[in-house]
Amino acid sequence: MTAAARELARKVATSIGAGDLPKVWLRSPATNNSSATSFEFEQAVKGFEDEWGKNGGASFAIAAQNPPAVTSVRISLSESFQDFLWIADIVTGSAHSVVFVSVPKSAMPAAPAVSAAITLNKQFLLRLPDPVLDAEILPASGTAAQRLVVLQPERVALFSQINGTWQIQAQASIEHDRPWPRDIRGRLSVGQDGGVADLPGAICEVALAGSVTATCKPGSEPWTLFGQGPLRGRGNIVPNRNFFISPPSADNSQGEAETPANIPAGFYSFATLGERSGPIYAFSTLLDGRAVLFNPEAKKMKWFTNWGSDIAGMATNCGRAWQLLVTGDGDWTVPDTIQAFEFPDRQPVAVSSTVNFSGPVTALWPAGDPSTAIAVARNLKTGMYEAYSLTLSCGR
Amino acid sequence: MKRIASRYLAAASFLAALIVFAMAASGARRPRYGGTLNIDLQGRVTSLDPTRKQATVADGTVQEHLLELIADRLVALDRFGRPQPSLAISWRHNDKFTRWKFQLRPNVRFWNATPLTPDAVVASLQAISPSWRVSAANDSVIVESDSPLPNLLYVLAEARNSILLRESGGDIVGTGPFRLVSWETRRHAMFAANDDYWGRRPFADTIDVQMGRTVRERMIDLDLGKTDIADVAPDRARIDAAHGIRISASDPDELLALVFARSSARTKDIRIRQALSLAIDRASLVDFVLQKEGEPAGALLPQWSSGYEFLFSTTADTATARQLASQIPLRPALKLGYDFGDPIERMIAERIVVNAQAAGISIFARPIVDNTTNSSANGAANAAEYDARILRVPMASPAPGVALEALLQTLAPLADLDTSLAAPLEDSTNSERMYARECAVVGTYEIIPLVHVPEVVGLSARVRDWVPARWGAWRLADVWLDGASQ
Repeated sequence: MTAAARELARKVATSIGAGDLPKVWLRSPATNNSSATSFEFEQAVKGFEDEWGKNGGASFAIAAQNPPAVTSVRISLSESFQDFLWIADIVTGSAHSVVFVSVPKSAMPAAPAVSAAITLNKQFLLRLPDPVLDAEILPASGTAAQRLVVLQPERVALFSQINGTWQIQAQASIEHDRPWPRDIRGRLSVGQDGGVADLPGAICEVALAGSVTATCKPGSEPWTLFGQGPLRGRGNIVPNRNFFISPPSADNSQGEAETPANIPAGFYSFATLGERSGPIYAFSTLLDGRAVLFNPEAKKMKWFTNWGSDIAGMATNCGRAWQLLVTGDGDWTVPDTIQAFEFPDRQPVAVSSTVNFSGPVTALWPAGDPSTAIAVARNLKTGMYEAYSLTLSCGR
Repeated sequence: MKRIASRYLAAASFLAALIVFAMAASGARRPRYGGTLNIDLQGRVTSLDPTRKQATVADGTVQEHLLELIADRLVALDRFGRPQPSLAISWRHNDKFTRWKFQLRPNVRFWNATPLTPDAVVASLQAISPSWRVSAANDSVIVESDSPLPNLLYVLAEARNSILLRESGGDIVGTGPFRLVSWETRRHAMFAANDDYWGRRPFADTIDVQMGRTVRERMIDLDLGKTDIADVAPDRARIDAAHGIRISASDPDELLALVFARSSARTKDIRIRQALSLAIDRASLVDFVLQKEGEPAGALLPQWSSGYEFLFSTTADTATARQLASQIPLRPALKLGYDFGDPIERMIAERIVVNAQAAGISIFARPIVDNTTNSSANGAANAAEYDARILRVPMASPAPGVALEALLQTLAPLADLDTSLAAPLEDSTNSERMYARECAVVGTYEIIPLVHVPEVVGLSARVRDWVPARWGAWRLADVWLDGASQ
């Protein structure tokens, strides 16, 4: 932006003639008719003044102290559909000319993180143009450095950190016969060597040894919604839709899936929470927008409203040891939030402040590490999908 | 660990018993599938085929919205206006932008199961843009032109360049998110979700469109929940919002302009046209006629598209207008035409008459009754009966270069513009050149921009994820209905 403002100064100087520049009245103030921040704008105007001065022109302040000259120049920053426009409006008597310098619009910065009570930490992972359905951070192991596996509708990709940013190392295409549903969901259950990627109507065996391979086949196996190995909670997604139908199930202590009785309604997400020597809670967000809590000890239900569709359980050393992350309500036209809750006396109590996202949260899954969750938001300004790792830390 | 596992199981088992309860509609963030989206529209469409021009601007707008449902283009604009792959997955061009090659998306079919082929795309584009040389090559389509086409991606993203299969009986078939299942010309259309849509099945199962609905019918239907989306006249937006209707407005994407007839001898003196332009109080047109839903127009393109409209004055200057008018020895009374069926045009015409009289210009507003086709309506501006008329011209594209060229192509044949002013821009991506062209056109006073008007719709409470493009495209495949049974 500043470089363009400098270029404008040079173009105006050329247009007027450098010899006449000291006599030109630089009209104050420069005006910002664009969405650029006042900070960006002021920095750029300083750049203009600097370049203007190098060409012999008087600054805004000096010009303001002198009487209007024959030639005046008014500077504006405006914005077209495609570009930012620096515009100099030059008036000499009744003659009038306009000089433009355009700057292609660039992406806006991401929203800042917020502090919290139990602090919900949001760590940015990466930003991609296509939907990110799920991701898993694989810790460093032996000689292997930390890696990030990302599931997208058309690929599984493996990233490693280079200079503090995740850079793609390998990828494998996901072959599928039928088009994916519009609100496609996907779930990764992978370890160091690979694992499984669940997609609507398809299941992919993912191998991460050396490069990445994804061997996919049609399938309607239950997805692993949370946990790994014997801790899995599972549910069947409806092909071509974005929700699960009954039954959500959890594996028993022998690792055998047990399924409860038929459940007539579908759900978007499912989580269970335990407490230190306390009761266990099961939660599900239903298709009608409500969420439900079932407390097996009291054998009572509780309904919640104003929750979003996505929840994820977290196991931590803080507070009551388990917290539930909940997205905000509304639809995908507004920025989203995630907040951590505990449930003393089956009442939801917010234990963190809300963490803001730059758009709707399109995926929220517990990670393999139960103290971590993965959230993906679609930035409403840029349209990019931004993946975050969420953790809770004790205290403020 | 096993202890925790058994807890999961217990919780899940209890969950099994609980989800047996009545549903209540409330907000859930994740989209729902299913349901019928009901739409009430003022416009009446005779055909969805873009080669068949519609009678009025409102009809043409409806045609574009319905085309979005059934057909794709080679290139789509995302919500930020950036060209994105659609039926073309990649493209490249030569240095001069005179030759473009588009690689087609594989495995796409029209709803009648016909595969999308390069030949089908060539036939579709040639029907719309005969001036291009379009040819097929393996899995690609080549577009060539004698003049550079730097904005071709934006042009191909226009609704009129939808890729359609034209069947022998005159029916058209698309590749879009919905398929047409029933059609009554100018009255009713029903669309069903295309389950095999390459771009992912839309959320709504069906879309039911009623055309030719009056303002009163549309508002009653919205009030009673009989419709989900209805177009709203801009001047009614505030009233309807006050009655609790959800209102959504695009950025101002339609120009209302006063166009002087090429044949009018009474307006050959530029001073009379300039005086009239200076006399018009555009701010009042926006405040009182449009009830603040719009912007005064000093140039052909709105500020959000061009970025330079603020350089054009929209302030009324009655004193200068009067002075100019007084210099003309014989000032004949002028006739100003407006569309008989358009109350906004009528109110604007009446205000112009008042403004003109304050500047000493005698002008009479008269409705144009014969408004059955675009050409005849526009042609009326050339008829000796009218010295000028009010015209509505929607923006063809959010890209300023494309929009300006399209506006000039529409308006130039009607006004007495030099052909050089209507010629394609030398560089339609260069703001400085666009500004210079607009200065030249507006400086003739053959076309007087009046106001830029948004497209306004009313929405029912159950419409979710309504994110129209700022230039008015509806994107109904993304809309879902709260409470729809999946």
